[in-house]
Amino acid sequence: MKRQWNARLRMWLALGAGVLLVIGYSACSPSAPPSSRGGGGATSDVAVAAMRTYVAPGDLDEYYFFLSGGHSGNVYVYGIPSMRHISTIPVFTPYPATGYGFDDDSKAMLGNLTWGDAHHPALSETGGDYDGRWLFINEMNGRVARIDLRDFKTKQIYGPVPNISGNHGSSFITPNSEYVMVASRFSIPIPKGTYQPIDKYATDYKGVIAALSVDPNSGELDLGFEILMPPFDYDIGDAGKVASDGWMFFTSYNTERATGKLEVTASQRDRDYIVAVDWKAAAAAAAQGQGDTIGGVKVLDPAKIPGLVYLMPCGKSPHGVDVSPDGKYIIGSGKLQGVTTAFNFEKVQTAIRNKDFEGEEDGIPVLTYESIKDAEVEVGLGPLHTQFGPDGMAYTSLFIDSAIASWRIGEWKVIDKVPVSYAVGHLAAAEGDTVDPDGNYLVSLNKLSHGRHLNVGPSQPESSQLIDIGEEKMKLLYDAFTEPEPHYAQIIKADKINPIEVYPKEENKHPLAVWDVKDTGVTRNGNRVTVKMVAVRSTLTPTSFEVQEGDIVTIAVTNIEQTTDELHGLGLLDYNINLVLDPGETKTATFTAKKGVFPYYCTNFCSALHQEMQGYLIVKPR
Amino acid sequence: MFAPQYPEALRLDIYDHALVGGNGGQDLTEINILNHYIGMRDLAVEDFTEFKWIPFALGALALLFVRAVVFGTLKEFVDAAVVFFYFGAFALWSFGYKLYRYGHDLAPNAAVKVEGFTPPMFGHKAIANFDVYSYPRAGTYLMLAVAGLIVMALVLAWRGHPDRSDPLVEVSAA
Repeated sequence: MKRQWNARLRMWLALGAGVLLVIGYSACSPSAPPSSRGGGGATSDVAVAAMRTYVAPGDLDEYYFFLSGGHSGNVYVYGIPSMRHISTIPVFTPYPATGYGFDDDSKAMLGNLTWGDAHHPALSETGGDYDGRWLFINEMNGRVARIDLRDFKTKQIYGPVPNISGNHGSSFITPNSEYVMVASRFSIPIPKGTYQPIDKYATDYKGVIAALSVDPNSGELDLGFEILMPPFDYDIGDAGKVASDGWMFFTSYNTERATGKLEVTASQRDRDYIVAVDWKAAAAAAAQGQGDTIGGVKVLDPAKIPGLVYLMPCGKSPHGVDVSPDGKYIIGSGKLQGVTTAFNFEKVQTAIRNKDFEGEEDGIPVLTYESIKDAEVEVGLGPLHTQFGPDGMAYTSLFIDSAIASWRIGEWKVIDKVPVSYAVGHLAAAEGDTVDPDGNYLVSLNKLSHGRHLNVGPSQPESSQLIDIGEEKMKLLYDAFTEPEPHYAQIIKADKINPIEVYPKEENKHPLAVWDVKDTGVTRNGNRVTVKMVAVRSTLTPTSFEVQEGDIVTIAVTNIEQTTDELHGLGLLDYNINLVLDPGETKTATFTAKKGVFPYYCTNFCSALHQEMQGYLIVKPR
Repeated sequence: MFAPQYPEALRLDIYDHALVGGNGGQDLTEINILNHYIGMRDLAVEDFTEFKWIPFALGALALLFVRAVVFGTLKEFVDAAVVFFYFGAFALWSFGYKLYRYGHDLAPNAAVKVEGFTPPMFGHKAIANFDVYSYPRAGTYLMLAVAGLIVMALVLAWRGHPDRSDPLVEVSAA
C-alpha cells in the first residue's frame, strides 16, 4: 500500500515538474523581459565606462569628433569622451536650423544639387599633423567642400570636378595640405557627355584621379592636375607621410574591368591593386604643361609619362589603405579575406628601381607582390580600415567578424580583439591618421545597431561606439546613435581649434550691412527693391514695408548683436525663406513679390520679447 | 553684474574721462540693450559732462597742492584741502545723482515696467535677475589716500605749531 502511494506520489511530482518546466519555458523564453542590454551584443564594464566617459555638466570634452553624415549631406560634431552631439554643420544639404541653403549665398553654393553623399572628412595638416584650420569633405556627385574651423561653416563647395565620376575616393589630404586628392569610383567615358556602350567598358571607360590644390592662406580649393587611369573602381586613399611623403595611395577594385552583377563579376581575381601615385612628380609634370586636354582640363596619362603611377597587388577588393605614422608601411586588406597586408615603402621603392614588375595595366607597371610586402597580419574576417596609436599600435576594423583587432607594427600579431555592435565599417582613433597619433580613444563606426536603443521603428540609426585604447586591453565605453550615415571621421584634440564666438563688426564687409536702426530702410531701382534690415533684441527694423507685386525684392538682414549666442532669424511666411543670423552676420534673401500681406518674424529664439519680434511685408497689387 | 545668463558677468568701469565696458566694450552695449527693455536711456559718454571737466579739475587741484608746497604755508594748504573736499563731495553727489536719474527717468512706454531705482554706488543690490556689485577702483582709493594725507598733514602741522595745546595729552592726563 505504502509503496503504491510512493509510486503515485512520484508520478504526480514528475508530471507536475514537467508541467512547470513547460510553463516556465513558454513563459520566459519567447518574451524575455527587456534588459539593460536591449539588443544584446558587446558589453562593457559599467563602472569603468561611466568613469571614462562622464563629463560633468559645464565641463568640456577632450576631443572634437567630426563625423561624416553620409547621404544626410551633413557633418556632425560630437565631443569625446562624452559622445554628446554638439553641433551639425550642413554641407551638401539645406539645413533650416541654421538657415543654410535658404539665403542667396548658400543657395548659390549648393547649386542645383540639394543632396550629397558625404564620405571622408579630412582635417587640414601641417607637417602631417592636424593644424585645426579647415575640414574638407567629399560627396559622390564629384564635389569637395571646405569647412572653416574658425566658425564651423561651409565656405566652399568645389566641383563637380571635371572628368571625376562618383567621387568616393576623397577627400584625402597631403601632409602639408598641398592637395586634396579625389578619385572616380564609377569609371565612365570621358569627357562627361561622351557616349560609349557598356560593352566598351574595359577599353573606353576611364577612371580619373584628381588633385585639388589648397590655397595655403585661404584654403580655397582649385584644380591642380588629373591623371588618367584604367577603368577600375577607385575606392579610398591615404597620403604618404614622413618616409613616404610625396606619394598617394588609393585602393581599387573591379580590376577585372567587369560590368553587370559586380558582386560576382568584380570578385573573380584574387588580387586587386593599391595604386601608388608619385604626386610630386605628377605636379611637376603638370607644371611643365604635360598632359592632354580632356573635359577642358589637362590630364596626365601615366602610359605616356612613366614614373607617375605604380600598381601594388593587394588582397581581393580592398577597401581602405592606411599609411603608418612614420610613413614606412602601407596597410591594405582584401575586404573578403582574413589578413591585412603591410607593404614596406622602402621595398616599393626598391622594386620600382629594379623594375621588379609582375605585369602591367594600360602601360602602368604592376609591382611584384612578394617583393613589396613585409607581413600578412591575421587580424580576422573582413578587414577594412586601419588606424594608429602611439608606439606602433594599429587597429583594424573587421566588418564580417564585427570586431576591432589591435596589433603592433613590426610584431605583426594580434594583441587584442574587441567585439562591436555591429558590422563596423570605418573606425577613427584620436588623431589616428596623423604622424603623431594620441591613442586614448577610438570610435567604431558601425553599420548596424540592431535595436541597441529604444525602438524608433524600422529606420534604425547607425551606432558609433567609443572604445578605450589607453591600455592594451581595449574596452567598450559608450554607444552613441549617430544619424545616417557615418563613413569616416576625424578626432582632434580640442585645444587645436579656437573658433570665434561672434563675427566682429569690423570684419563685416557686406555691402548691404547696416549697423544702426537709423540706416535701415527700403530703396528702389526700377522693379528691384532692396530692404536693409537690422535684427537686434527684440525688433526687426523696419517693422513693416511695402513693395509692388512683381518687384524683385532683396532683404539684407544684419544681426547687429555682438553678444555670444544672440542669434536672430528671419522667417518670411509663404516664400520658403528662413534666414538665421549669427551675431555680426549679414545675409540676403531675394524673391519676387506676390500680392498680399506676409508676416515675417524672428525664428531663432533670442530674448524675453522674442515673440514680439515680427513684422509685415505688404505687397500692393499692380 | 551677474545673472544666470551672464556667468562671466557684465562689467562697466567708470573713469574720470570715460565709460569702459568689459569684453572689449561689448558689455556696455549689452547693458544698454538690456536696459532698453525697462525704458532706461543708453549709458552714453556724451551724457556725462563730468568726463569733460573732471580731468581738468584734478589737474587744478594738483596745482593748488603744488602751490601750497611751494609757498609752504598752512593758509595755501588749507585752501587746497577745502577745495579738494568740496570737489570730492560734489563728485560723489553728482555720480549718485546721475545713477538716480538713470534709474528713475524711465520711458513711460517701456516694455517692462519697473519701479524707479538707484543702482548701487557701493556694495551689492539685487535688480531683477541681476546681482549688481559696485565698488570703487584705484582712482577712488587714491582720492581717499589724498584725503588721508591731507588730514595727516593738517594734524602734523597742528602738532608742529608752537602755540598748540595738545588735547591728547590733556585727555590722558585727566
